[in-house]
Amino acid sequence: MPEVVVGDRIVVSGYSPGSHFPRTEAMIPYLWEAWATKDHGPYAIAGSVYGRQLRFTGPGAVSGTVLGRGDVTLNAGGKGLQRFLSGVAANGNIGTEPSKSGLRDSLVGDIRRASYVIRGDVLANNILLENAIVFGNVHGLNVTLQHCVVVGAAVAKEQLRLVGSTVLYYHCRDVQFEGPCALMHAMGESVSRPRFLPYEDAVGEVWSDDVRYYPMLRAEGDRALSNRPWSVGQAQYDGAKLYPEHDWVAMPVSEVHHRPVQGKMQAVEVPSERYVLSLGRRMLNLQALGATLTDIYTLLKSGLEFGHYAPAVQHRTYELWRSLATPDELWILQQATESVAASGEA
Amino acid sequence: MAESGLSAGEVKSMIQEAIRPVASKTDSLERSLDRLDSRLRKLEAEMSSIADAISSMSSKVTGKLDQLQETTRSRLEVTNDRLAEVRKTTEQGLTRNAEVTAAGFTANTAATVKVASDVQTNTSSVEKNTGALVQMEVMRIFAEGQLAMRRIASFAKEVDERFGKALESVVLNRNLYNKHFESIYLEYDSKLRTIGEHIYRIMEEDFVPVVEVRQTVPPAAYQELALRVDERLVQSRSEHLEANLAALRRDTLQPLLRMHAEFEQLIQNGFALPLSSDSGDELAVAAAISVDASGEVATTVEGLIKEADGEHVRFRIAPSGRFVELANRLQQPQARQQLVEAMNWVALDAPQLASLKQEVAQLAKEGLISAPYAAGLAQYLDQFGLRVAKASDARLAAWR
Repeated sequence: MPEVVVGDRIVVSGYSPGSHFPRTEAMIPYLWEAWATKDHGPYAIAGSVYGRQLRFTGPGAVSGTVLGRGDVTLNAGGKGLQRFLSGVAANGNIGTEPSKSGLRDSLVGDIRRASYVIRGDVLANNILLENAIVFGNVHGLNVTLQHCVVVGAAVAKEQLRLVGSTVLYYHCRDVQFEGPCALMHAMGESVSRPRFLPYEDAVGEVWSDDVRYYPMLRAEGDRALSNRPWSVGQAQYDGAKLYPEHDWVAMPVSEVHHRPVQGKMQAVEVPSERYVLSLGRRMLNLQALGATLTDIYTLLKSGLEFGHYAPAVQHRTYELWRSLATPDELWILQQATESVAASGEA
Repeated sequence: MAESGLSAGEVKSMIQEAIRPVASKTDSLERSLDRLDSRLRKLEAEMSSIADAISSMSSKVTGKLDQLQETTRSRLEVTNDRLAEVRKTTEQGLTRNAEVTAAGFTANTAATVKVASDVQTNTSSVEKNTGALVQMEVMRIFAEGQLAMRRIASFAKEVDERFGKALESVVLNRNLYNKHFESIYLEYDSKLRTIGEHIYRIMEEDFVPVVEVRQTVPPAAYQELALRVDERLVQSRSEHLEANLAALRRDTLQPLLRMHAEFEQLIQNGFALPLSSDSGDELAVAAAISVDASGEVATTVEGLIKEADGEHVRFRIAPSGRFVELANRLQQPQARQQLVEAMNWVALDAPQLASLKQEVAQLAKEGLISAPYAAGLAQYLDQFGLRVAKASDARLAAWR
């Protein structure tokens, strides 16, 4: 294993064929870091990584699971792409280093400017991802997605902030949409009323709140996966807008709470409310979007199952993606399914 | 999601690393045992060769001792024979001397007896000395033989002792080997348990609460409410639409249809003429027929005036869409031909042409047709004139 102890850090560079974890009690307090250097180039770890504090600096790829006992810090440094092909999980926090680029210069402007691609779920207590693509779900207590694309659910037990991001659907207690966002599936649920706020990016440009329905944008042709307000002027773009007053419905629900009644804990139904996103109120002919929805479903299904396909089937699936997917979708699928060895990082 | 935790291969590699030093110790012990075995075998071979040498030596020594005994015995016999002869000769000499000198030498009798006793004493001492010498010689040779035997015996004893010690050391080494191997196994077990505890501790303390608990929640738990809301909204919308359609039908469509039926009945009652083929009644349908210079016939049944897209004229005559069967029949070449033949072609005279040109100019003035078109039409009328078809009743009746 190419592990080198540098001060209070254990550093891995270059190609590593196995997994990394503390082998002795003495190694546990060390900060473990994967570091892309000039000499070794991007790191490529074919196994899994486990440790108390993990950091990934510079471009590289990890084939196995990343599990941190404490925090996991990702810092691509704007020099390339970090890929995690089996999910990232932490008992503490997962965070990316903040970048200084604005909305236009992030993956919202061009999907290839993404700094992180994660295939699998991102699981932690507090999650802050910026300029990341997740081909899986994001689960946490508090989740902030800034300039991200999540081809999966964004689930937060407490607060979810979507800042110029696209998700498949969401489920949380409080949700806040900042700036231009998009939903791949018009489905979402929150306990409190969603908030729609403008957003000022790192370069000082202000974006008003705006949420769009992605399948309607896609039906046009090669629309991006993100909401690009500067590409306005088309009827479909305007028609894809989601309206807080009409598309979010307050639904009465009853929750089961366990409360002491006459000294005994009993299950009691307490009336509550949920705010649910639904297009059911619209006079919308979804049949016209049928082909687009079927394409999105096919791409998601094949992308998630891809690792289980035989090589011949994988080749056919690539051909299918080329025929069905938009350029952004195709790029994401390729990045999420290409192995560490095949990418040449090994 | 796939791929989490330590795989079987990784655990195996960890175990292999842990037992590698143990295995190398085992290998070195085995090699020591092998060396000991080979040395024991060599020792056995040497001992067997020594035993063979000892047996051959003992047989040789025994043979030599036997020879020595034979030789000593034969020499003793010879010596005894010689002594017996000497005694005999001496006795005979003495006796002779006694006989010869008995008569005359009485003085020498005592000397002779003394000499005889001296000779006998000497003879017995010679015998004794000779016997002692022989015995000594035999003893010496025997002792020498015994010495070799003792050496061989001590050598054999030494070999036995060494063999015994070698066996003891083998047993001791084997016990030591078992003891070491037991400790190796114990260490292997404990390391395996340690690694297993480590793995399961990671799984229980980190993996399960962070990953498994979240991933075991089915997606339906997050989607169920939204899907039910969608379903409910779509259902209520569909019910509203149905109610609206029913109300539209009841409040608007049905009254309209009723009024239309009443109007039709009213018109029919007031103005309808019963038509039947037996009575010979005919129905007149307005149709425009034009024939160009090449003889091409165009018919427009019940033409309506509609706006045109052309640049010269703003209106055109288009079929109303009723009397479709009649229009289709008129499209047939034979019907057209008969129709043309049924027509009575009459050329317009000059006043009629002038009147027509005037009407065309008026249309151009009103902007209903373009001025160049009007001028072109006037030129055409001047050059070619115009024939108008009029059908006679008799001719049409013949055409059905």
